[in-house]
Order: sequence, then structure tokens, then C-alpha cells
Amino acid sequence: MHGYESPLRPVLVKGEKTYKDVTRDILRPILGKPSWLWYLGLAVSSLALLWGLYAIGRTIFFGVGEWGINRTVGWGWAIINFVWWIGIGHAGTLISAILLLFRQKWRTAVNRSAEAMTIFAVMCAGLFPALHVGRHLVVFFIFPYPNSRGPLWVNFNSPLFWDVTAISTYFLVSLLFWYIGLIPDLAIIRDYTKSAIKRKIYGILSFGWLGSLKQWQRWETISLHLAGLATPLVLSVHSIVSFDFATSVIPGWHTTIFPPYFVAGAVFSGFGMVLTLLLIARKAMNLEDYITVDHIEYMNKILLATGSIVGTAYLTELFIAWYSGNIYEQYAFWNRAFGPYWWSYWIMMACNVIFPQTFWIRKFRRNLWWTFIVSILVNIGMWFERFVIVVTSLHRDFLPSAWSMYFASWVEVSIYIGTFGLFFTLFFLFIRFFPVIAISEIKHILGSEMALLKRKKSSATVVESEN
Amino acid sequence: MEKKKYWKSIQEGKHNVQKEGKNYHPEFGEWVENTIFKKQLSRRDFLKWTGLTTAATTLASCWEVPVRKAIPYFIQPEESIPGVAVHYATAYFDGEEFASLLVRTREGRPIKVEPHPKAPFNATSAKIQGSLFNLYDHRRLDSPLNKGEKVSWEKALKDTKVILDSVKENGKVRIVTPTIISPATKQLLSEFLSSFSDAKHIQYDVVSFSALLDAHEKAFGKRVIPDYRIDKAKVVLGVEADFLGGWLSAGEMARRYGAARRVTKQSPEMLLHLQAESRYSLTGSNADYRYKLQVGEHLPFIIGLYNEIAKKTDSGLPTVAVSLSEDLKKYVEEVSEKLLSAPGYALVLYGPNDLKGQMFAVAINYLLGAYDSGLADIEKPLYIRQGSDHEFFELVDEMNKGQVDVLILYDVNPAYDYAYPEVFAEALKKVKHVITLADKNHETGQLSEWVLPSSVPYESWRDYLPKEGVYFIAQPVFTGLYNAKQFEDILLAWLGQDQNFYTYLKNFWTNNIYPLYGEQKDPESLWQTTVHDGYFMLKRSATQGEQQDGTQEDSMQADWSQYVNEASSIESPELSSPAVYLYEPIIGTGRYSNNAWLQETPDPLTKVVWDNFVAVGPAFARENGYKTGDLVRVSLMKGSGTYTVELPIVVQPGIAKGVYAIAVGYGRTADGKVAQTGKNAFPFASLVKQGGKYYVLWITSGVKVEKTGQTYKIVSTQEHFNLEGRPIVRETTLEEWKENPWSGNEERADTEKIKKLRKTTFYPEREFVQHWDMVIDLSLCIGCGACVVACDNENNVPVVGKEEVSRVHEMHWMRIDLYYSGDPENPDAVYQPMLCQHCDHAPCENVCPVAATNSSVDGINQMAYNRCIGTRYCANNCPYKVRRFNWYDYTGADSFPLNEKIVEDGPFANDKNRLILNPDVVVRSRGVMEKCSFCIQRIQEAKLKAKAEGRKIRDGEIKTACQAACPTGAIQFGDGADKSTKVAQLIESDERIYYVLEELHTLPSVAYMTKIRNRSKQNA
Repeated sequence: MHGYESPLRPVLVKGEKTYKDVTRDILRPILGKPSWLWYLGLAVSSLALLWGLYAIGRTIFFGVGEWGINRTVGWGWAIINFVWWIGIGHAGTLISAILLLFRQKWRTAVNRSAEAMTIFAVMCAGLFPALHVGRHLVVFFIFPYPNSRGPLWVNFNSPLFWDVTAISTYFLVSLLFWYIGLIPDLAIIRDYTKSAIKRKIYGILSFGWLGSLKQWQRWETISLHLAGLATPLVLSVHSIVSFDFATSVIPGWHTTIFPPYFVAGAVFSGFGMVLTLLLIARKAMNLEDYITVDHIEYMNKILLATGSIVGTAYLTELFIAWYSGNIYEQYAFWNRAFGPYWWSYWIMMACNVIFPQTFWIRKFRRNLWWTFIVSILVNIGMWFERFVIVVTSLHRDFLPSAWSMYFASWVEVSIYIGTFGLFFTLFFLFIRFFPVIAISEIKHILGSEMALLKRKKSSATVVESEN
Repeated sequence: MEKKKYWKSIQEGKHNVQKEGKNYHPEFGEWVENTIFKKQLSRRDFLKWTGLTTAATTLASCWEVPVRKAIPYFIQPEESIPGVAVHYATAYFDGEEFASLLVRTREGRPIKVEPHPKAPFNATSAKIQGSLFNLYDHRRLDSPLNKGEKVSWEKALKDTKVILDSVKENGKVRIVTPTIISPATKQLLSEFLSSFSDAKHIQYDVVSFSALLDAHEKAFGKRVIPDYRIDKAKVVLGVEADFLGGWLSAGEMARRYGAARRVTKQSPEMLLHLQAESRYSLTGSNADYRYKLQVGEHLPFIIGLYNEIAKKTDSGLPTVAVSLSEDLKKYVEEVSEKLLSAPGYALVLYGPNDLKGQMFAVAINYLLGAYDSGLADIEKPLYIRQGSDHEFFELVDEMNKGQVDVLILYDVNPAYDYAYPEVFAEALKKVKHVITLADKNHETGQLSEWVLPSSVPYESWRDYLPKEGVYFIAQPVFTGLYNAKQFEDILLAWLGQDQNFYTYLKNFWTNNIYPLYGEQKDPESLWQTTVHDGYFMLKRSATQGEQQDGTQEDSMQADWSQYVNEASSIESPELSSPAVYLYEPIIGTGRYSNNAWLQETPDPLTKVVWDNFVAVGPAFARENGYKTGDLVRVSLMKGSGTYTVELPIVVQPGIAKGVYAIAVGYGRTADGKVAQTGKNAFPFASLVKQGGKYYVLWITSGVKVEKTGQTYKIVSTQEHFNLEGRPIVRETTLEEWKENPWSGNEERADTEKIKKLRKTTFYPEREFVQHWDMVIDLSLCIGCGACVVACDNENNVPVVGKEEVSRVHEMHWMRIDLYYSGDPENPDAVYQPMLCQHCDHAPCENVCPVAATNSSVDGINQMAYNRCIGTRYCANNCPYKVRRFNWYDYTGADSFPLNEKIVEDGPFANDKNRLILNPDVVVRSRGVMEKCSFCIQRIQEAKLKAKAEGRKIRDGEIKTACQAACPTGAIQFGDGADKSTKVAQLIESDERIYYVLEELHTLPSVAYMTKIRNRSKQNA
């Protein structure tokens, strides 16, 4: 099964681990008692979630008028956050599906948490389109369900409908993929746990997994199939999200470059978020041997690549605006950089284009603190990218008479905070009840990694680099 | 399996016959039948049920579900068919503006006013379009008040009659009204007055024309306003006269202006409009040449102009010494050239209520031949202003001396709108009995012993004579919601007459008016015709025309010299910088202050809503460090005290240095919540003595303005007035247009290319059998806002209030975009009405996920409100930004009152105000998008009518609300697919036609026509 291994490739699992070590290390947080930090984290997240729920309640009860959006800027933080969360949700599938197909083994350490992150992020994202509408009670009109009104179908031309389709598909496939990956691990927990109730629950959740050859074979087959299904989704979801803007007529939105630009941006922000979370998790959960500096470096390389694509897209947009000779287009881009929202543009430029460029240098790539800072900056930058696209394009479009400003209300901000609450509540529950690293997949590569480690140890030419 | 059993009789089939056994099918399910009906309920179950039902009822009764009452006709009136509108011809006069109207009523309630299709004076301003609201306003008085206590009408009339009877022989009775133009009312008033030994009628105009009236009295012996026929003029000069924005009669003047400004290829000439002013008025913003005067320069300017014209016409009239600045000399030279280029067709309108200036303006008009040519028609003058400031001044004096026994105030509110309201209020205390007749318990009413609720025009029978020879009958269109009586009926009651005013009026016409007509006709049928038509015109008698021939002019020469000498001897008011310039805003002078539609209609020049403010010019603001929103304290020493208000600054282009322009009509204290916005500016007017008489002047020097250091939220619907070089508004000059009809619109000159481009699409081309198109002539749009109010009324557009407008949540379907160009100190303005463009390739349509907005077969972009889920994607993708979203429940269409963001006293505020709503148009609920529908309800109505009559819809049969309201006729509407219609022909062949953002290939149905300014090329 395993092909040629380059002797230069660093080892993916540090320390001489046995299969038992792997199980023990990864199951430690699940089987043991959580620390006070976990409780604190969960409490803070749930409070944020409750606060967000209050803001959501106000929105539903009083109307979208509670938000700062207006006649000219009809979409604000809701859509920005929607695109942002969806973008974050991209890394998971990319890691699980595309890297699986490309047989990138380093993914095994990070794929589980990245996938979980994807699902939680998509859940957060999905909230916004449902909340931003005017009439929450009839939001189901957007689904093409058979009805007695004609039948009256949805507008298949509308990118918003494509959005709904793409995101629900994405969510379903990601969820399936994640859960199927979890099944063997859930069975391990079932086998290790001493609590009868837990055994019962994990038993149900693991669908009676026995680890037979036949099961493993089928498990591999379905994983591969789902990976095949998910791969085009990685590209399609954010392409379709970008169609919300690209198919419109508004200068700054009406851009053919949007699909690749959005996908690259999504992967960029997704890896940013994965890095932020994993850097904390590996420290907090003592998983440094599994999520190594090399893993971080791989991901930093992806950040650098996608960041450069995004930067190129920004510059291309500017060039095309100038080259098009279209006064509205030209003004839209001038306004982005020097209009009343200039700060958002320059935050975006700095965070997305300038800082990731430091990763050309190996030292920065392997510096965990710097990586942590940049990963957060990337997420800030990508949030501002969506702000720039949504707000600065809308607030000054064709007719100067209709120009206006947009400032978010506290309700909008609270809902955003609420989605963080949702995300982290789910994430804290996840790390408590599910293995953050795919045990079975790590074990899958453990044999070859340990062999590689031994080879390296015996050779004097190998230079180890520690963090 | 058991055999199916068919029952033989009803009894057998009924469940209650057999309650046991296999074939028993209980009605409510077995469990219910067994436990509840068979009383086998256990204690626990009983408690469960009790708990559940209690909780359910409690929950269900948590919300107060509004009860809406509808009372059906017990006996349906024969002529009223539910759902079918009835139109009545009537007329409206509010003491300032007169209009002949057609009122649309539904199920007995008026819902919309439109200009009368045939009668003269059929033009509406924003105020008149909004006037119907006042009819329903729930703040109206519902009962007579005696010292603030409610009393019955019987008692009120009896007691007041006792008061009046007690002063019949020896007492002073004074009655103050606005200008009365009703001949029958005048007759009745004189009967009423003659029943007292000492009684006098004083007419009190809030916007006074005393000086103009007096100047004409001095010149022609008649105290009248000539009918200014600017529709016939070639050159018109306005000197501080905002004649399109409220001076004299906004709607009618605008209609005439539009008639003279309309340019077609057949008649390529247009009125040349000059304006000399220091405040930048709506009228000034439309002028071809605007001469910026400094504070108080209108007087030297008009005298200088008189001198120049007297010299140039060799009239032999004396010139008057006046010192002119360099600018003024230049202006006078230029203006006189232009005025004299059209002898007999030039007209000067002088605005300020200043006798000296008015006299010179009359002299100039005389020299220009305006009176001779009938351009200023003194033979058939206007009667819409007759008041005398001096008479009112004398009355206040009399009151102060305690000489007045009974003061009757009908429809006037001097305690609010007089230049010295506190003096008037003091004087009022010294009057023995004050009887106020008003629709509301206003500021003056609250100081009165008696307040009797009087009807508003739409509830009253009345006749009107706004102009010599043109009579109108105003019939009531509503029985009235409030317990009010018509002024005339109260007079009749006081006179002890048993008849009502309708009978009085009819008799009056039969005896006095119809005989004037000459031809003898049956008065009854004449009356029926007059009431039906709403107007009655006397034939112009042949003898009147002959009086004004050349021979008379010479004989008047000597008189004119004397007139000029008299004019120059009159003292001029002291005016120095800085000065307050008062002006009448969209909301009028106080009568309409509680009208939420008007309050939310943006000020034409700043787009500010819901406030009055101190407007200053940009240079002046820079010098003094004023910024828009700075709160300043404006104070004026007046007589004994100082009048001080705090108002925000708004920097408005075009205003001269030293001018603080403030709108009147705001800051009511005794009216609804809406009316209380802003501050009262009337006390900034001054009383000026000229030629022995007092005049109320709306320009006052000696004001002190100081910054408070605070700021105030001033709210406007438009923030950016710069076109940014975009070809959204196109304009040219008359000279260029004559040379090249494509000028200003050169982009579209290659018609073949445009045609090809318009057809370039990879979707199947749409074919239209019928296609509704609108053409808006930018040359004719004066930015008055009448269309905005008309649209609000017709389409139940929510009023959202200041706070919501400040959040850019205003709901207007029709807005008027304003763009300034040129020097900010004296800019050009252009107005562009902007509404849904009803694109054939609408960007809003393809993005709606639920297909709630779509295109009709006749080219209308329509909204299905109950399908809309409110994603607002359509609004984002609308390049014209005309879509409006119901952010909150602005209309109360939701059943949870907590959600409602309804403006108190607005059209949706309560059941009484809601009667104004148009039943043909859905009231939109929270969370849906809305926008202009091209008045689809009117189109449908016309379609149905045409179908019933088996014909095609005639061109011009359908008028959208904005089109009908537009006084200048800037908007045209029709079927563009039918090549014979006016609109289709314009679109087909007029070189001025263009579409906004045509390059987006939205294929709009609203075409604009290049604005033409009557300028020469070098002045472009």
C-alpha cells in the first residue's frame, strides 16, 4: 500500500509511539476529568451564545430594522459574517478530501479537528442567511418544495437559491464525512471507557463497529467516495457564494474573477482558523507529538500560497477597474482605498497580503508565536475583505443621490459574538467527547512513520530541528 | 374480515344511536370518548387537563389581539357600489392657495385629491396634495370648548349668541379671518356685521401681500393682486419672490411656469427666468440666470432696475437717487437688457412685503407694458390675498386698549404665527369675549374663552372667486368624522336664521351669480351643472378688453410720475447684515404642521426632513465656523423682550453672506406630536412702518447668532449632491439645443447603434403588446415635491419619522434627486425625479430567490408582497436604489403592537387617520420590499373600464399619481408599444430622450429628457 517514502521528509509523529501510546494520548481528555479551564471556556462560550440568542430574538421579534443596514446598504454584518464563516469552513473539507486524494499524510493529525471546525463554522454561517431576511416565518419559501400554489417554484436564476443548495449540500457531505471518519474512533472510546452509560452511548454512536476486515474495507471505500464528492464542493461552495456578488450589476461586485478569488480566500481564512485553534489545542491537550511544527509549517505554506493568490486578485481588480474605463468601476475601487471606509481596505491589505508574505522565510514559518499572530490577522483581514466587498461596494454605487453610510448596530455585533459562542461551545463539547485527532488514521501511518524515525535516527546526516 | 355494513337510515348511521360495540366510531377518538365523555377521568388526569387548558388559555391570551370593527351598510346607498370609486369636483382654499380639485372617494370617504381635469386653477402643490390628511387628523377638535371644558353644541351656540346679542347695540365686535374669497360667505359676513352697531371684519394673511396690494391700490385704485400670467411671459424676473415655492400660489404659478418652459420642436422657445435673491430659494434654483444679492439689496436693486428701465424706455418718468454696488450695477444693466428684449412679455415679481420696493416693481411692470398686455392682469385680478397687516396691527392696538368686546377668530392662529405672538396673546386677555372657530384647539384657541370646532374645506359647501370672473363651487366630499360645524352655519345660527348655508349659497347663486352670466337658464339645472363641474366662468365681456388701448397710457403719464415720486418718498426698511430671512417650507405656515406626509417630504434644496434649521451659505459658514448640525442660538430684540430659539445650522449652497434663512411653520406647541418638531420662527418677522402703515416683513436685521457648542441631529434623505461627472443627468442650453438637438445627449446621437445595442442580448427578445412607459422632462421638473406627497397618499407609503430617516430607512417610492454644479456660492441645481424604472431586464428580478419580483406582460416590474421573504438582494442589485424595505412594522399591519414603529399622528397612527388609506393598495407588512408600481391599481382600473366598454385604453386615460400631481406637467405616461401615443412618439423621435444608466442594459421604462437651460452657449 505504501509507496516510496522520501528519506528527507520529516517524521509526522514525534516520539517513539506505540499503538497503545497513540490511543492513550488521544483519549486522555475524553476518559479523564476535564480541567477547570475547560469549564471556564465552555461557560464563556455559552454566555456568548446566550447573548447572541437574545440579539437573534430581538431581530425576529422587532424586525431587521434592529440592524444598521439601510436603503442603500441592504446587507451588512450578517452577510459579511456568513461569507466569513463559510470561508473558515473550507479548510476542513480541503484537508479531508483534497489532501486525502493527494495522499498527503500529514493531514491525519489535523483533519478531524479541521472537519469539526468546518461543520461548526457552516452551522454558524447558515444562521445568517436565515436571520437576515425580513420575514423569518416564511423563510422556507426558498426551498423548492411541491406546493398547491401553481405550483410556485423558486427562482432558479437566483444565486441566493444556488447558495442555499450549495451550502446545505456542503453541510451534509461534510457532516457525513466527519462522522464516518469518527466511527472507528468512537468504537475505541466504547472499548476503553469504564462508564456503562458512556459505553452504551458510544456503542450506539459507533454503529456497532467491530473493526473487521470487511468493515475497514467498506469504511475506506466510502471515505474515498465521499472525498471524491467533497472535492468539487470545496471549489463550488465558495464559487457559488461569490456568485451572490459576481452576478449582480453593482460595481465592485460584478467581477468575473470572484469565484477563484473567493475559493482561495476561503482556503486562506480556513487555514488561518485551523492554525489558531490547533496552536491552542496542541498545547492545551499535550498533542505536540502529533501536531508537530512541521504540520504548522505545511499549513503556513498553504497560507502563503493562498494569501498570494488573494493578493494577486486584489491587484488584478484594481488594474481591471482602471483598464475597463468604466467610471463607476473606477470610482468603486478608488472609494475602497480612499473613501470613507479606507481603513477597512488597508486593514484587509495589510492582514491578507503583507503579513503572510513573511512566510517566505523559514524561520517565521516555524515560529509558533508568529504563526499564531498571523493566523489571527488572517482571520481579521478576511473579515475585512468581506466588509470591503459588501459595504464599500454598496454604500456608493451608481446614483450619488442614494449614497449613504453603514454602521453596524449592537444587535448585529451581538449576533456575531453569538456565533462565536456557538462555535466554541460546540468545539469545547467536541474536544471533551470526541477524539480531536483521528486515532485510526494516525495508527494507519504509524508503522511507516516509526520505521522512518528509526531510519533517521541511525543516519547521522539528519538534522533535527526543534521548535 | 368483517363485511362492510351499509346503514339503512340516518338514525342508524348516526354515531350517537349506538355508543357501544364494534361498529361504534367515536367522534373524538376512543380515548377522549372513554375518559371525558364517560366520566372515567381519574384525579390525576383531571389535574393534567386543568393544567394544560389553563396554560393554553393563558398563553393564547397573552397577546392583545386588536379588534378591528367593520360595520356593513344596513341600507346601501343607491349610488355607492363598494369597491368602485366616485369622483367629485370640488375646490380648496386654505387662505393662501387655491386649487380646483377632483376628489376620489371610496365608500364615502375621500382618499385622494387630483387636479380638476378641466377647470382653471387646477394645479396642486405638495401642500394641497397633502391637504386631505388634515381632514382626518385625529387631533381635530371633537366638541366645542368653553374655557377648556367640553360643552355641547346647543349650549355653545346658545351661550355665544347671548354674548353676541349683548353687544349688538353698544359694543365692539371684531372678526378676524384669513382672506375670504367666497362671495356668498362675504355676503353673509356683511349681513352678520351689519347686525351690530360696531363690527368690523379683518382679513389676516399669514403670508402677507399687504404691500403688493397697497402698491396696486396706489397705482390703479384697486387693492388687488394682478393675475401674473407667467404662462404667457417670455421673460420673468423674480426678486426675492419664491413664486414656485409658496409665494402667492405655488401650484398655480408652477403650472403656468411649466406651460411657459415647455420646449418642443414645434415651439422651441421657452420662458427666460431671471432671479435676484440672497436666499437660495426653490425658484432661484430653477432660474436660468440667478443674480446673488447681498442682505437687503433687493430694494436698491429694484430701484436701480427701475431707473435703468425708465431711462432705456424713454418713459419720461423721473429717476430716483440710489447708490448701487458694482455688482448691482452689472446686474441691473444685464437684467434690464433681458427684460426689455421682450416688451409686453416681461414680468417682474417682487417678493418682500415692502411697500417701497413693491411700488417700484409695479412701476417697472408698467414700463415693461405688463399691465397693458394683460401679463399682469389687473382687469381680472386675483383675490386670493386681501389681508392688511395694518388693519390687524390696529386691531391688536384696539384690543390692547381694552376696547374690543367680542373677538371672533375664524381659522387664524395669530398667537402662533403673528410677528409679535406674545403681544397678541397679551392683547387677547384684554378682550372681554374671545370666540375661536378652528379645526383644532390651537395656540390661539387655548387662550380663548370659546373654541368652536369648524369644518375644513372638504367638509363644507362654499363658493370661491379666486380670480375675477372665475367662480367655483366646492361641494363637501365627506360628512366629517368630527363634531364640527361650518363657519357659515355658525354665522347663520348667530344671526338666528333657520336655514343652513347650503340653501343660503344656492339662493345667493340664483340671485347674484347666475344673472351675471347674461343668458337666462333654469337656475336649478345651472346649479346642478355647476356643482357637478365645480366651476363656472363668466364670458369675458367685450367692453372690458377695449379699455386698455394706447390712448389711455398717455393720460396716465402724469399720474405715474407722481406715483414714482410718492414711492421714492417712502421710507425704506433698515436692513443690514446679518439678517434673518424667513420662508415658507413644504409644510406651509402652520396649518399643515401636523401633516406627517409633508413633514417627511424633503426640503427641496437640502433634503432635510422633520426640522427647520438655519440655512447659511458656504462662505459665510466658513467665516463663522459653522458646520451642518451645529446648534446655534438665534436671538432678536423685539419691543420689550428678546425672542430666542436654538436651531441647527445647515450649510446650503448659494446663500449670500449674512443671511440666516429659517423656515416658518415649525415648532407648534398646541397641535399633535408631529407638529411640535422644530422651532417657531414667526417671531423673527418684523413690523415695518412705510407710508404710514405697518407691514409684516419677513426679513429682519439685528439678529444675534451665537454658537452653543452643542450639535443637533439634522436628518436628510440625500447626503451627496455632486454628480461625480456621471451622465445621469444631462443638460444643455437652449442655444446649443437649437443648433444641435442632440446636444447634451450626444451619446445617443447614433440612433442605429443605440437600437442595435438595446437589442443585444442572448436571451430571447421580449415582445410587448402593451408596454407602460414614462417620460420625465428634466426641463420642467422644478423639484417642488408634489409628486412625492401624491405618491405617499396614493400608495399608502409609510411615514417612518425622523429617527428612522436618520437611519436611512425612509420609504418614499418617488424621490427627487438634487445635484448641484458650479460655484457653491451661486450654483446651478438640477432635479431628477427618481422612481422604479420598471426595467425590461430588471437586475432585481433575477436575483430574487423566491421570484417575488417579476416582470408583467405589459412591462411593469411588479412585487408580490406576500411572496417576498425580504432578502433585500433586489434592493442591493437595483442600480437606481429605488426599492424600499419595511424594516419595522411601519404600518401596523402586524398584529403585535409591540412591533409597530408607527409615527404618532402619522397616516397609520390610529383608526381615524387610517381612513386616508387607499383601499386599492395593499398595506405592506414588516419585512417585505416595496417600490413604485406605476400606480398599477390605476392601470388595472382603466383596463377593466376599457374592457367593459369594449375599446382600447385611450392615450392619457391613465395618469399615475405623480403625473397627475405634477404642476408643471413634467411627467408623461402611456403605452409605449402603441406607436400613436404621445409617450411612444417622444421615445421614438425626440433627441432629448435618454435613459439613466442605459449602458447597464437594464432597458428601463422611464425615459428622461435632457434639461434645457435658457442660456446662451458661453453661459452654459
